[in-house]
Amino acid sequence: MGEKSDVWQGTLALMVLKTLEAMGPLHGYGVARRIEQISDDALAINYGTLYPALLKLEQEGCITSAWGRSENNRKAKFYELTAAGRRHLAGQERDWERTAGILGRFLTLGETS
Amino acid sequence: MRRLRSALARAAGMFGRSRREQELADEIESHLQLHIADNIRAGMTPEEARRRAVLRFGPVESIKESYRDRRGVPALETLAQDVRSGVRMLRKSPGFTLVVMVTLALGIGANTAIFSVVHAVLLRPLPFADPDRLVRVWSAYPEEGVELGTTSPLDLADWRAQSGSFAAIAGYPNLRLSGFVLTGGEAPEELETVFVSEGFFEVFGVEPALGRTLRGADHREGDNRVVVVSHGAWQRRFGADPGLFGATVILNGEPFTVVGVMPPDFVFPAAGVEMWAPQSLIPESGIPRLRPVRWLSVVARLAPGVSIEQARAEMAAITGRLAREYPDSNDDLTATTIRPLHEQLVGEVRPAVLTLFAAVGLLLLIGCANVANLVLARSEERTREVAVRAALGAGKLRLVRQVLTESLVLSLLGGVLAIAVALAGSRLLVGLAPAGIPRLESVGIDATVLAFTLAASLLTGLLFGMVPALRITATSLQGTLKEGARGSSGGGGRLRGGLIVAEVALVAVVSIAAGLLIRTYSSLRDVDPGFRPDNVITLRVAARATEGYVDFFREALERIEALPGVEAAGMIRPLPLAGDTFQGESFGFSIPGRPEPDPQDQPEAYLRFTSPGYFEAMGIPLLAGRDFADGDVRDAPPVLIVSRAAAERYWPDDDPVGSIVTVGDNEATIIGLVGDVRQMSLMEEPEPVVYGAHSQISRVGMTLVVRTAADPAGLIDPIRRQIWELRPDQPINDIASMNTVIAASVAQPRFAMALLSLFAGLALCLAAVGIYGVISYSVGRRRREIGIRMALGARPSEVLRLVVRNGIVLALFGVALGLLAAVAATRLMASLLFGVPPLDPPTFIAAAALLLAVAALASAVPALRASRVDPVVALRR
Repeated sequence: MGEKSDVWQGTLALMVLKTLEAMGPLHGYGVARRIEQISDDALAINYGTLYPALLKLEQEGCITSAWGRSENNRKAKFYELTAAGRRHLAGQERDWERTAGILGRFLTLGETS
Repeated sequence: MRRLRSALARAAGMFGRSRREQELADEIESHLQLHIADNIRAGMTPEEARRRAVLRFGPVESIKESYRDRRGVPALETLAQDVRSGVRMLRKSPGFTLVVMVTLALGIGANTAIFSVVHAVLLRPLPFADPDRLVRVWSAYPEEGVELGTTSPLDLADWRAQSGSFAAIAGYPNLRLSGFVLTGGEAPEELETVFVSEGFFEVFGVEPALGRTLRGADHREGDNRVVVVSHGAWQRRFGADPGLFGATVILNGEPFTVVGVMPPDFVFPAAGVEMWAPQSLIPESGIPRLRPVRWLSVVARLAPGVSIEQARAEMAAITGRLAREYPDSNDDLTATTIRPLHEQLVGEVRPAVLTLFAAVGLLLLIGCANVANLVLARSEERTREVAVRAALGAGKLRLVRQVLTESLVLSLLGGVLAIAVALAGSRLLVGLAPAGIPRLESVGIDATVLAFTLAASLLTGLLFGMVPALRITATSLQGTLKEGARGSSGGGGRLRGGLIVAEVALVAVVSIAAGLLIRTYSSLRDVDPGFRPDNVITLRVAARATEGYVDFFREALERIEALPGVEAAGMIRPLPLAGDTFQGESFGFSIPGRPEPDPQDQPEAYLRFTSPGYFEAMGIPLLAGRDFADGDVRDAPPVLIVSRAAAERYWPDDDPVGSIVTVGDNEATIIGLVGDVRQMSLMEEPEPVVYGAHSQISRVGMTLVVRTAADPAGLIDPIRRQIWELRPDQPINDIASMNTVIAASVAQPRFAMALLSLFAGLALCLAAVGIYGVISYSVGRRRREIGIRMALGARPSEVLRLVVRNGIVLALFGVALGLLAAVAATRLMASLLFGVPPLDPPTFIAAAALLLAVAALASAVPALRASRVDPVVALRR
């Protein structure tokens, strides 16, 4: 557990949105599991930040929520990406790629010199 | 956009708290269930699956807490919590809450009431287009020191033609002229009519509610049978008929066209105006159009871009030119005075209203200080609570916020009560106020006034909440817990005591002033006006001096006297105490056979016009000689009746009855002597008066005076019927009993008395609260000391006496100071007093006694509490 990195505040929202885009409507547990799986369990989702983050996204209108039934027929609250959320995600993705690109070049530069 | 949305969602998140809590719990539970199911699928036992899931999820409560923080607005939620706990605290001590709320309601309410007057009378813009461009223009005579003179219509016409400074300029009579008599309704009525020059409505730029206003062509002789009706008259006299404009109405027996109806707030030049008509309707024979005949008030609208200084400069040039051009009439009229209309309308009352406002402001400030004392006294009882909370981790800021919130809750509750106080107060003010305060009719509680109340409440709450809040920040936590309230009260005690002394002194001054005015009013009621006002009804019959009107009146009086229940009837102009601006003509005469006196010693009296029967109807005693008779007509020898004051001044040694006086070339015989009557005001000694018979010196605007055997109300209709049978179009106005007339004549002193009494009452309440607060505070502080005294054997009655004496000593200082101040202050109000000296001992003694009694009562409450202190409990603290 010790080597697992915590998810940064800002990027958690991005991951949640990306997950919902890829998976469609999903409950909070599913979102958390999915992010952990994608990162090969390298990331541990802190639930103390996940649920407030979901609430924040909902308040901002990026996602909506509704109670439904899970695949094994359990009651769960499902979150779904809205059109605004999709737009927001696209913007965030571009920003992230640019940042990651700059950071990548910077780090590469550091290695060569 | 996202931020706004999220803010809205968070604000909404503050409500429906329990449902949302449940939903969060459900979501967490469902998360755990899903996780447990996964774990079981991975081969764990149910117990292990659950344990792992719960462990992995982490601390549920802290997650819930951060979720809650995100959901609502934490600061607001703390606020809601503080408000709830504040309300709880207040409910726990209803006595304290009640006293504070009443203090605040009175203080804020009085301020709101006065502010509603300030707002309506002083602050609100005039209901005209661009009101700051409107000015009043006066003819001025610098050499005679006259700044605000009336203007001749001929000068006005020249001003209009020659000046470029005004977009419009117009004049209206500066005195009340008889209005038009409207017939065709149930009864003929005189409508208060203002005869305006051309340009009048252009000056104000107000759109009519119906139809149009007067145009240039309406003022041309021959085309000028047109009137504009006020909104009030339209509703009262014409049943709010929307088809009124363009209709023909009968005024003074002739057809006129109503061209328009003005909106409700257009009441220029004064409330009560019912109709505007072209000035050209006034015949030359009524008011000759000559330059020296100056009878107009002038209003104007400055032309765009013209400053008031530019207008003044231009008008100076024009009046100078006119003075040279018409030296016979205008050589001294060399200037004009131009002032903003608003300033002229409210200028006179502004200082009085603002003084009043400052005074109630001061009262509120005192109220604040008192409430702060009370809150302090209570916080004294709560120091340990506060210390414990601080020890449990409440930050100072949080504690301060809690105290301030409590104060604000109190002050806002007080503010709500204050609205009721203000409603009653402003209604009372308007009802009591004497006539002549402009725009008083529009006083009311509107949004602006409510905003003022809210602001005043918040400010008050902050002010009196500041004191205990500051104490918290200065309190040493450990000291408090260790010591209880053992520390000394420090320098604050003297300050508080000084405050109470000053308060009591102020209240003493105000109560003495109020007492003097109450005594004044009651001696006014006891003054003998010189007539017997009971069962006397008066009616104004504004007949024009037309053919046969003397016969009409004689016949009318005969018919009225014949009515059952009528004892006597007569007529007079002017009616005593009716506030008629016409006070009778000054009547200079000489007495033949006496040496010619110096011009300034020439006998002089007011000349009044009466009919036979007036003295009897009014109850004025005929002391010698006879009353006028029907035979005293124009062709008969002129006769006069003199008042006792005139007789004493001009016939000190002989009998005036039978004497001859000369006025110019005419001789008149004095046939009677009557008692003196207070004419202008009950406060003024009667002046020498000479009465003439209206049948010999014909005058208009007479008032009918009828004495009846019983209550005259039932006779109003029969009297009017008798008059209308003789003259169907005779208007009858201002019907009032003589007692009502007297009451109206003392409206001013009554207003002063009522206002000051209210003030004194308010101040007394505040002083009582103040004393109560300070004594409670010191009792709280001295609880241990009192406990020791009681443990050592002091009886409760001794403790009671000890504490009450504290309050009385403070009050004694205050009263002594107040009496001294009152000696100086009441001198200033000598002109307001009547029948009572400024240093009236009974008033001073009564005020002092009242204050001491209130002080004793106010300190008795905390004293009783002190006497019930249980020494064991007090010492253990």
